[in-house]
Amino acid sequence: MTVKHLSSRTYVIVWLLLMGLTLASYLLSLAHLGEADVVAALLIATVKTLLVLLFFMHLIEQRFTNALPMIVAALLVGLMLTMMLSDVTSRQAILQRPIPLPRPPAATPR
Amino acid sequence: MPESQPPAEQLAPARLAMQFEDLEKQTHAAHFGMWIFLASEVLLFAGLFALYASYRAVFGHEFSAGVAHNNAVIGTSNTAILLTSSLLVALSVYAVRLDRPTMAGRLLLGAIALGLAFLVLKGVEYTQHFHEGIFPGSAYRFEELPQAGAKMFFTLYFLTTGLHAIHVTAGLVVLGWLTWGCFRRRYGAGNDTHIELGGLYWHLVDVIWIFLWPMLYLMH
Repeated sequence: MTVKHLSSRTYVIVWLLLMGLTLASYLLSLAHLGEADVVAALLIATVKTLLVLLFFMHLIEQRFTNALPMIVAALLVGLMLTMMLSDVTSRQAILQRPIPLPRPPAATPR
Repeated sequence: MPESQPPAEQLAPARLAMQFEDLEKQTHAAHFGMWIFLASEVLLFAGLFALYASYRAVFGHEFSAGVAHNNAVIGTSNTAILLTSSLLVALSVYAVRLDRPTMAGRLLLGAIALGLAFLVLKGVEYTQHFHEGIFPGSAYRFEELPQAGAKMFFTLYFLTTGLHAIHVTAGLVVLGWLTWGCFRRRYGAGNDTHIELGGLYWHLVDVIWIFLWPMLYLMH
């Protein structure tokens, strides 16, 4: 069943890594890098997810079969995102108008 | 690698169901079944993630404004809280494997306390939003960001965090049941499958939040 159990020190080190990555992601968001911001945030989130899956969820000490459902799910999510984004970004016209507010704003001159 | 031998006098031996030849096969089947369920949970949230990505591609500016309006301090605190609760759950599995269920129960209690703290902070956040007139769907009346894109962002915000909060609540019920079992010495070395599977569920809820956090608080 299991290959080799992790030690408790491993869990604490992984947790420290996760917290460090969380801090890095937060500080990066304050730097306002524009488009790179989104890419960096998602990359860091992916690395954190891999750490949780491998160590906290013990995939690293289990047979490969147990990793298959997650791998397939990740591929399917990627496929869905690709299809939907390529559809939406290639459309010609999308309405972008303000929605009417339920009551008119106060008539004080600003 | 030989496996560590459980003590001769097992306090809580695992029960073998009649359809399995041995405990190893039973445990493997239970784990694999859990992973399939977790993969289906990922796909459940993936639908909302794909909606978010599509609407963000259309209403990029309004989404950025919405993200900037959210409370990043609360969001980041909640990330740290969930990651720490995951550590405690992982350590509780470790304790059960060493045949120390009482220790595991205490660690699980800590994880439950953190999970409750997460929900309290989420409640604080929702209250702030309601006071500003930020509601999902057609009830949206936030005057600072009156655009359709902002309304869409906050509707998706309520949908994703709401579905996630329901999962956190379910996870807390599972952890509570496991904690009770630990204090009753129902689990031990060689009989840790329930704790492992409950832990897997909790970690998955954490993984979902790892992606929700940048989507709703950082990408401005």
